[in-house]
Amino acid sequence: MSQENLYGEISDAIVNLNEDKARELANKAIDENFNILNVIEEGFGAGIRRVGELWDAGEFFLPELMRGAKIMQDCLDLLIPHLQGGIERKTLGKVVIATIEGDIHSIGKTIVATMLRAYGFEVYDLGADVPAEKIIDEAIEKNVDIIGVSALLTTTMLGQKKVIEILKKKGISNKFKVILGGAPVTSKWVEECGADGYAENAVEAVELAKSLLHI
Amino acid sequence: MIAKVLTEQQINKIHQTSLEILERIGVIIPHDEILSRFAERGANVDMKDKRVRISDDLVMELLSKAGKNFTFYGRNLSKKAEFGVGKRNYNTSGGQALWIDNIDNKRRYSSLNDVTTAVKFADALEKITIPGAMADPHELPVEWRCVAVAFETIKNTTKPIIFWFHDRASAKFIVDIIIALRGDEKKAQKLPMFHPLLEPVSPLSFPFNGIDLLFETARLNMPVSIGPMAQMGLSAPATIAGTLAQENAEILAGICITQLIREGIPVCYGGICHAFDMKTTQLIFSGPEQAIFSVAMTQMGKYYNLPVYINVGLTDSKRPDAQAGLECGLTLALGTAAGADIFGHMGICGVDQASSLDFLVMQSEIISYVESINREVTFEEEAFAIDIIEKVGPKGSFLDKQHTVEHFRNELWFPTLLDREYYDTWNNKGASSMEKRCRKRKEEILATHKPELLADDVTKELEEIVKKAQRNLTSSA
Repeated sequence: MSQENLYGEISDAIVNLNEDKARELANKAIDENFNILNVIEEGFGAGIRRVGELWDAGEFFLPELMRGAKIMQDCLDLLIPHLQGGIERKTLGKVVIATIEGDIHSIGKTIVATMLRAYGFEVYDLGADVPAEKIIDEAIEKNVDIIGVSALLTTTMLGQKKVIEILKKKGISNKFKVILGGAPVTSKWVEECGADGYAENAVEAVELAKSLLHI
Repeated sequence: MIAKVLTEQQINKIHQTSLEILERIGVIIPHDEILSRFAERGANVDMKDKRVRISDDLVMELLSKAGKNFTFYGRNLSKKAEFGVGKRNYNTSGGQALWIDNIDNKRRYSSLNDVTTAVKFADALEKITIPGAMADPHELPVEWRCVAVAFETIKNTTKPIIFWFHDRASAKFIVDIIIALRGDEKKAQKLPMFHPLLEPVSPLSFPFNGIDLLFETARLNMPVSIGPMAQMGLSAPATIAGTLAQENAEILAGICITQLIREGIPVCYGGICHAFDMKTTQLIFSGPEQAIFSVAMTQMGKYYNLPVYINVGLTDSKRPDAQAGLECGLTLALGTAAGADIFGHMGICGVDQASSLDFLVMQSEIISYVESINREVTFEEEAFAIDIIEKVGPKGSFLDKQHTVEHFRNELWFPTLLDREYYDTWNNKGASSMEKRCRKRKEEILATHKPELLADDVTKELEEIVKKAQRNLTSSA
């Protein structure tokens, strides 16, 4: 099979949410020593973009979007160790994401992380109930572009503000874009906190992240 | 009126599946004291992962210990909300982050002033048995916010109340408030006015603070509602059956926790699972699935002989419009017909997107309508009125008969807001919409209703408790 045919088949497997087929093709690409970077970009990347288009068109719903992203991620985990000649995969940017301290609601945050990964961001998901200091330490260590902080409760959303306050205190607030999410969060709160952006849902979060990095 | 969706076999299957979930999969409880107590009772506890697997015997034993009925009393002891005895109660929201003054305005963050307005307002509404704070004051520090909210809520109504508890440290001051209000600890225990909600985080986990604060409220044997908002397809399986079984398992685990803190604590079964919208990517307050969930969960709760609370009478709409009327009305009608004890929370715009008194006015009318649906219809001899039918005979009218005068007021429901006018009359009176009438009624109530004041000495005493909470709980950071 030519590399071009393989791209098409991979893309179809992602759109059809066919995990077995997608894995089979990923393994085939490895076995046949295809250019892995191209396989990722033009096969899996193309597939997930088509999934995104189907979402935009209202034909796909959230589970299909998430399933597509999950299959893609699993295949990427297979492929990345086989990237040839120490080539690093170029990502759209690095994001550290967490649900703030005191809040164990992680599902919304995880959806955002999955979507960002699927669209080509490198995402460090720190989980839930994470102190502001730890989020910032990770952001510095991983040299990320964006810090995403989630809060579902009116009582924990104050932690989002704390993240920005600490960044300011450390004099590094201009090094990161901070985006906020969660049920009680509004654009007004984002303004009040001095954060950089707010998205109502995971798909918007991807657009927000892209626009903040001028992509 | 009786509504059912589950057969006895299906109830049993859900029950068995929930027990299997608790024994095979278990729940995460990030509270070491509770985990130790589970371990002492022979449960399979993993202290490192904070996970407990509970056998069906232990679940059933702890469930049997739970109190199965209770009554909340207002400041005015004749204002009661009874649970587990076949009465229906209605509460307004315990608190929303955002507030809408008028439907055409944008929402803004809530303040303590909104609590005052909301509680006074619900004090005036006959059908609301338990006014809620409705607002979660954005300007107050989290550490003592709920203490201030509790006080503000008590001040503005003579009915039992609801608001959100926060943690154990603040719960201590709230316990002090009810003791001060009732006179002593014994009376405070005998006459509860409010209670906390333990909200498991689906799937199958619990929050630390929600559990920890029960150690304070248990001092007064205060009732506890257990209500996980499992979302079908998101935080529960994508099927109604699976969601019901998981939701039920989470409630049962929550009941076990309460009984390990203090045996006999009365509990309310909060069957408040929801569907999740795969298009908008948020929870659905009031789709058709909500009616099914609520009726089924009521059947499950009643299978355990518990008081039941369900999320019906709600709407996803952002205006008190046709959609709101449809969603609130249908789900509330079915939920009440299923026989739950409390419904709500009322006064919410969209999916927990703000509080709005305009919605509350509309819902108040819907409650009145639905209460009327749930009336006991009389089929006594007198009601059949065969003698009157004979007297009127073919082609006559019943209007001028004594039987009619004696019965029509009892048999007919009168709206306060719904329009039933002749077309021209309606038109001449300004051709108003339901939204407009809700707003007008809201403004009338706001302008006129004054709740009975709290005595000065009690006010001072409670103020001191709030101040003390403020002093003791203000964080140094």
